[in-house]
Amino acid sequence: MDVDKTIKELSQNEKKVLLTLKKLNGKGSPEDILKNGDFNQEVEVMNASSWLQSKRLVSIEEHIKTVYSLGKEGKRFLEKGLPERRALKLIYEKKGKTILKELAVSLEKNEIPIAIGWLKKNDWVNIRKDKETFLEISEKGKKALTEESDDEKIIQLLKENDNIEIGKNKINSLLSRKNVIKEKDIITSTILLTEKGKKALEKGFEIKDEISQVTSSIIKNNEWKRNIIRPYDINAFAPAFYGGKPHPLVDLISKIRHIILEMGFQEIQGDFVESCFWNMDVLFIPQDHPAREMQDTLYCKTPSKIKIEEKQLLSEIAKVHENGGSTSSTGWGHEFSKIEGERALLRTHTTVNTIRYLYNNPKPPSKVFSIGRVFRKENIDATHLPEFYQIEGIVHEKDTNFRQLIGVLKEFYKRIGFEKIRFRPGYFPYTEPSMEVEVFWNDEWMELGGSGIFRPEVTEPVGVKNPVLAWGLGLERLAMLKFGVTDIRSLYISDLEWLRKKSLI
Amino acid sequence: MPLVTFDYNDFIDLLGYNIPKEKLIEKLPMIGGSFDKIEDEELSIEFFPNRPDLTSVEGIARAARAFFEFEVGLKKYDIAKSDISITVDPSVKGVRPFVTTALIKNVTMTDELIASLMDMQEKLHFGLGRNRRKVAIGVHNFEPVTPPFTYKAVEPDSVQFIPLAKDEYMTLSEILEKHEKGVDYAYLLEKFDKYPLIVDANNNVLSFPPIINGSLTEVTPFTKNIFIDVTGSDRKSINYALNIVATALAERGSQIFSTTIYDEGKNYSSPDLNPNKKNLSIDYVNRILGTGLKEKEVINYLGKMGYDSTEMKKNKIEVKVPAWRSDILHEVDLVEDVAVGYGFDKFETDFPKELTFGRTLPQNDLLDSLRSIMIGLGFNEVTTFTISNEKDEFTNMGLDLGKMVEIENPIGEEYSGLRTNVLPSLLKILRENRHHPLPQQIFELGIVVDEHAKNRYNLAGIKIDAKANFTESKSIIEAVLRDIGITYSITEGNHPAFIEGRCGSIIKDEKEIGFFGELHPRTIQIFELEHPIMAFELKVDLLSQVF
Repeated sequence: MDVDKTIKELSQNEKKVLLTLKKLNGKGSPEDILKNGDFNQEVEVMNASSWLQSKRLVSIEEHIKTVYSLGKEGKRFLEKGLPERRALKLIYEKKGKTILKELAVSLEKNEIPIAIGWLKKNDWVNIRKDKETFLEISEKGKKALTEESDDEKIIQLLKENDNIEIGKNKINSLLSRKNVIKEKDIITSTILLTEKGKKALEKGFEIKDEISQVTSSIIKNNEWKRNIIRPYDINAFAPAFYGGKPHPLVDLISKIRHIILEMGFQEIQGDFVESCFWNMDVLFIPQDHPAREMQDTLYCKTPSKIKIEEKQLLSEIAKVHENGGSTSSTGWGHEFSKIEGERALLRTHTTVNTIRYLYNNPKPPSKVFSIGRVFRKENIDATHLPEFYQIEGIVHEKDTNFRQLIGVLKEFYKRIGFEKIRFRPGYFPYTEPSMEVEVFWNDEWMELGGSGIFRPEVTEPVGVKNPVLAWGLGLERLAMLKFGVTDIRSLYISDLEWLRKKSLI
Repeated sequence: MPLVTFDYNDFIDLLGYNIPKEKLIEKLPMIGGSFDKIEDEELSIEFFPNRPDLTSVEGIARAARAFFEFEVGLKKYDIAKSDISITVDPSVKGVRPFVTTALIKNVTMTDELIASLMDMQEKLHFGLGRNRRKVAIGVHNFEPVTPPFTYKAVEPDSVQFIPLAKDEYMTLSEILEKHEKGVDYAYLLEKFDKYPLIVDANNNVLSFPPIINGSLTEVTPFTKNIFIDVTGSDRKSINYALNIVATALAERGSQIFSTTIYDEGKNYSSPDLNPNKKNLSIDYVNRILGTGLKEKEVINYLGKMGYDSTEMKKNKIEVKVPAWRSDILHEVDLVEDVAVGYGFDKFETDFPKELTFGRTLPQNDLLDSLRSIMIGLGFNEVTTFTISNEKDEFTNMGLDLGKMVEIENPIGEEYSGLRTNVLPSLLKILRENRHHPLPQQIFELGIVVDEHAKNRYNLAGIKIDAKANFTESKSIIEAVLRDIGITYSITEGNHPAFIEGRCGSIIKDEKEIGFFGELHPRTIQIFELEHPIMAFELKVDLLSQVF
């Protein structure tokens, strides 16, 4: 970035930091800058410096330094004097010589050994052992009476300045005493002008009154006419903002719903809990079909049974299953069980809505669709869920046919984003002919839906005399293709960060 | 779906004609299958469960021979006569009533054939056979046994023989208790006190259907002549199964011999490979497909699918349906095969002709508006499972156990019923998102199922934040209700999931339509959360006349 633009975008405080650094020969701690520049608080210096660092005008170096202050004992010593000092004074008062026991007059019991130790170490006394231990001030001791020891000087120094650096060799003897000195490491920063910073200073700038945050009073008082509004670095970081948004899956449902509506279809829906009769029997799924077994379909304990109110239909369907009834089909050739039909289950497909609609509206024309959840006994893993959405539509008119089904499918898939599709023979118990739909996506053909014409065994008993075109597909599979999601669970066990960041278009 | 794995070269040998692998892979699925895996010469293809005749490489080769027009029309197999017979004893009628048999001679046993036979048997047992209930197949080495055979039912402990995979005599009850297959399939016989058995003239046991064969007739790589028995509950199904297995062996160059079944005073010659005749109207074909096909064209396309057909009177043809096609129930099934023979990719696109108007369900329009309101208030939409459990729905929310739709065969305790409220689902989502920054505010317009097993819509919203509280919940619910535009009143609520005195109940037309407030710390902890939460739930059905 060129220096002129950088200079233009400098805030007041940033400029002040640069100018102060120039005064300090290009290097200084935040305290130095605070003292030598026109700042109120160190935090202003630090904020401006880190912005300057992000603009590469300064660099910030961090160092660790060890500083000292007085500990609990240290403060006591400051008040009462060091034990050896107090002992020395006492001996002096006793004419320069005394017995050890006498020290108890001005020292605590536990201080006596400490005092003796340091008196000896400092050579302030000579010790003589007879029946008693005698202490006598030495030459050095006499001298010491009138001047402060090094340790005492440091204690005084720390009294006046907290948290300062002191040479390790000087403070070692105090450090060896318990609780006298507190030691801590602090991080200090040094702010240095970079080459770019120096260049900016060479170019020169002045500190003028300029507007950073525009306020109501600036607007009302026309201050904006007198002062420059400082330009910002538009590449600087701005905090993320997340508003409310639709869930991508629901958003996709909404889009598909609009597409099917535009194609002239009417929306229908139904309940999750259904009878086997409506979910399976009416759709000519044989009563011993493997998909009806407990390992594939979720049956209900409460309610366990749903009464079939449609008596006439029930007897029609029983005949169709047993021998084809009036449909000229052979049927499945097994005895139909009404009890099996009355079992309650969680619907395994939305086709149950469709067939019920046809039963209630047997006269053409109609086009209806539904988008709803269906249930299967699947354990939850990356590609399976026990409940998922099915999208389904039918076309019912007097002369519908297979070619029209292909036309409707091509149009529908094109509208949901698949220009290239192809068809393969398929199989569903309730359609004939049946087709699998494949879409070309990411350079490969993928199965995405099924379709067909309802079998006469399905339509005739519900009073429909014409072929009915039907197609359906799974929403989640489509969503996974569209969103690039590989784990189907993430659609239902939402990660809020994913939801916040997922694009909607 | 049944997956058949075969070797390309073995397939070409069976086909008797050459077809490049690439073309086979491209075109074979157009009969109605899909390739699952292709590894060098090993191909795996899945066909649909309505085509048990395509559960073996032999059957696939037969279909391909016609489809690729090497030999169109009905495949015919010679059946030589034999005097072998089996008598159905009345004792078995109440247990497993039907049997059919065939003898196959001059079998050239190869590894491929043994593998294919076992695989085909397993698939037929599963699909057509409904896990052996409807059909069970026994394949035997014919040499060690002496016809005539008898199919009868016997007392479980009256007979003992050495079953396959064992080397000691076992009674029928012992087999059901101890033999691997006996344990798996014992339930098929649990209602009976006598068990089915096939024996030869010297009372040697061939098989104990539908459980296991005797080791006496075990098929080995040296077996030359094969005897097949098929037993079951449905005469049609056992015949299809027998025809599928017998013709598969004949495809490998063996000779089929007929056997006689003596059953209830009648005798049947088996296998019966005479085609079933079905009339097909050309108008019907054209009506369903939207085409203008002539008789000859229809006959031609059916030929590609393995049928022989002849013109009858104008507009009608008679179709000979192969004796191994169990899926032809109605004329329409032939129409599909005409379409497959014609080629799905050749149909010209057309569109429905009659005008219909698109129309939404008014309740779904209302849901759309509610969704916009919630998003406008800054809530993130989520979508969750409607399958839940008693604990999350009631116990964890401090409620007494209530009525819910319960699942008889749940996938697990956590998924044992349908939810009655949406709020627990939202709390579970927050639990999954504990590691993400706060605040989090989410909502769902979700289906719940009431005590009459009817679907209802509920709108629930929830916010977790260091400063979430009752006042905020009231502001939010009032904003929602203001945007919906209904008149309501608020009274003190007493939902146990909320802090006492910090829960409101929303009343419309003297009915409670929802509740809101600040969740009790106890509820928050139960869902493993640790920040204040405000929440509300509204019964959408009670908001508007559209429901």
